[in-house]
Amino acid sequence: MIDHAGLDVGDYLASRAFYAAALAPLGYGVKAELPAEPPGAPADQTANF
Amino acid sequence: MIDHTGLAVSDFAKSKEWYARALAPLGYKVMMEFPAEQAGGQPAAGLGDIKPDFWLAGGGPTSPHIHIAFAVKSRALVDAFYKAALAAGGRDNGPPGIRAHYHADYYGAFVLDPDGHNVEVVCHYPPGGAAKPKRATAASRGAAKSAAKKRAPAKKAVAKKAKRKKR
Repeated sequence: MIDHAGLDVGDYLASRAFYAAALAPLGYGVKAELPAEPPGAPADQTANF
Repeated sequence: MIDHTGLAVSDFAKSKEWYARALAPLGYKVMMEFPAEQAGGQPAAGLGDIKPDFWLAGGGPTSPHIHIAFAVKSRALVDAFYKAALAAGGRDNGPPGIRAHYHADYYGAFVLDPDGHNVEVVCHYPPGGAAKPKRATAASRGAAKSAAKKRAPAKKAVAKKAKRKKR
């Protein structure tokens, strides 16, 4: 079973806004946000996408 | 909740074999397969345990690298994935262990697939297992239930739209 998945995007803020709006009907929202700096922590990861 | 996802790989046969071996401890296997002529010009294979939820297609690799994580209910299965994935030729990207910056019982292992994609298997349960992972409290389950009720009509509308789009 898939736990979570993630991808890198060209424009973080634009994509963040797009996904938040597109997935809002599913009850999705930005649940977690990681800073860019810590090792191995992609900045675009939310709770399961 | 994620239903399925997929990626394009540079060597279809090699990646299919790698994922089948790496994810075997999770009960994953190739459940569905389509030849190139039936799948838009590239072969495709769907892996899963009860349904194919992870798809591979030729013609890649997908770039930049993606991240995918699979959930298991015991830490032993995380260890088994790590061992199988390395034995199948994967590159170590983080051995089994706690990643406390996510939560106290987050036990994961990371291996790079043949194209360098970051594949993880994670267990959210405390050692020895539990009826429910710690992160799912009674309160959050109740909230999830009422949220599911609320969004049911929206889901239907989305399905209808998808149907229309298909034709």
